[in-house]
Amino acid sequence: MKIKSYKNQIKLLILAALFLLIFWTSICPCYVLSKEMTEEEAGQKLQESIDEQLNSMDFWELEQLINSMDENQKKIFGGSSFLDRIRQLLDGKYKSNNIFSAIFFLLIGDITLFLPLLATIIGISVLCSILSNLQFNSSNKGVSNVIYFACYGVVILSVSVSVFYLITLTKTAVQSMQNQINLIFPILLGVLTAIGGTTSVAVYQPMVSVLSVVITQLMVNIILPLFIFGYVFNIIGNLSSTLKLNKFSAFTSSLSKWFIGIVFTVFTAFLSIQGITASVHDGVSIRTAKFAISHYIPIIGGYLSDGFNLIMAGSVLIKNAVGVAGLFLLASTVLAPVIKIAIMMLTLKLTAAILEPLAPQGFSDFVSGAAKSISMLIAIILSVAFMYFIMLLLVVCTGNFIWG
Amino acid sequence: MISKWIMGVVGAAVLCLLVDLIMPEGSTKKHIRSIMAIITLFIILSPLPSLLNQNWEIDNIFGSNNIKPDNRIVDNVHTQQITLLEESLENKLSEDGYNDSKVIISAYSKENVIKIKAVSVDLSLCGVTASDYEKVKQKVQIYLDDNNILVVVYG
Repeated sequence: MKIKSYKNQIKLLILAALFLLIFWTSICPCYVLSKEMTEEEAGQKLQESIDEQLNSMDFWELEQLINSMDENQKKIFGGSSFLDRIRQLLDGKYKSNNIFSAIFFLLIGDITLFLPLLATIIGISVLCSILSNLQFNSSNKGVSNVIYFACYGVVILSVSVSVFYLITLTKTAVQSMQNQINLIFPILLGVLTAIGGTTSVAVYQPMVSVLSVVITQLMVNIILPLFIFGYVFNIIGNLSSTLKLNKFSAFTSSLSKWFIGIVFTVFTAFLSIQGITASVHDGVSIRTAKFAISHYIPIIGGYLSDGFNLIMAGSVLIKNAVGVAGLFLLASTVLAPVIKIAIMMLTLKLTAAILEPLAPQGFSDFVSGAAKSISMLIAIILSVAFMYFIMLLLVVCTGNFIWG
Repeated sequence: MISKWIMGVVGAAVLCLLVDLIMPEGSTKKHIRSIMAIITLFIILSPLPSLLNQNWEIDNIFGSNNIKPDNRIVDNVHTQQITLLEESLENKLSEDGYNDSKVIISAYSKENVIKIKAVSVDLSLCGVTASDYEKVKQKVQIYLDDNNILVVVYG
């Protein structure tokens, strides 16, 4: 009897142990998962990753560039240091309330800059017409011709001083844009490579070189001289009523317009098509490749893949912040010259309109021809700025792949 | 070269104007005016033959390609990823019971892909015996799923 109850006890014990085992395993089914990250730990890790990556980037020359800008441009940029602006953008602050006041002050400043020019031209032309009507011997046309040439010379001088000032403005704007491209794109392409978008980088690198070297050389060495020719022929053509060179000015301006148009269209088409297909290819290949490490590491799981995601997210955030900061820098470089040139153009057109009834024909034709050819300068600045803008936009919009 | 051309054209134009001014009306004036027009035309067209005969070198136009991705950024991100891998290996080992282990991974990056060369595990703070070294080494090799990586366990 005792042996039987002993066997029963053992059976009971075994049954109880089985029950407990089933009970335990159904309550805590965590066998292979390793340590997961909490939310605040994730946020802290993201911030650390971003700080570490920002430390590896070299912003010194960009800071020099910003230091050399004046007050209004700094207001448009939104700060006085590139790194500060990046940190602001990373926090999500897009300060835009200062931009409109800066533009307004630029407008007012330029209008007051060009009003003396307006007054000078009108005063001299009126003087010329009064003098030539007051001649003592009406059959001698020589005196009135000489008066005409003298006044015309002064008007040419005053307009040309402003026009050449605008030419140097254009040249410095285009060269500053070239400088910015050379400084910002190594950073952007580096972050894009670190994320894993190697096809996109292989597409963007030659296009950026073409933009930075070829196109700016074209603009500064070919189109700007074409503008100067057109302007000079405009001057000569209005010197006397017998020698007309209007068609020459029209030829140079239409040649420049065609040139800029073709270069712009070809560049933008190539860039957009290649850039978009490359980014799609990269998105697909990264989703299939999973890690930058050469083979898949199976067991470690949650902590590792979360951590990789955080590093990748930090890189993408930095890339976007640098891109947008570059956009703001571009805006601050381009807005000031364009506004100046536009105000000058409007002033000259106004002058021509006022001069038409008052002064001899040549003055009005010269001033309105100068106004028409100045629009070429705006075309130069805006086409280079737009191509740079499209490149920045493409780099910011591609490479936003975060797998999770 | 270009400014000389412009000066030439401007000079020709000014000469035409002088002729217009100085000469009295008459057939002489008309003849000289037509001759000055032809001279001006030749001066405007003068640089064309030298432009057409030059050999255009395309390499001179397309300057040098000096915008390259900044490798320091790529290296920084790879370093962060390797640090993360070390941390997660340490976490996994501490779950297996080896707390306070220290993992150092040496790897190199080639064409944006990280290849792990060797892993060294420092178990001196764990308080384990020498027989555990083999176990840890095998565990690490299982975790990394690659038998070609050199794993060194010491402590």
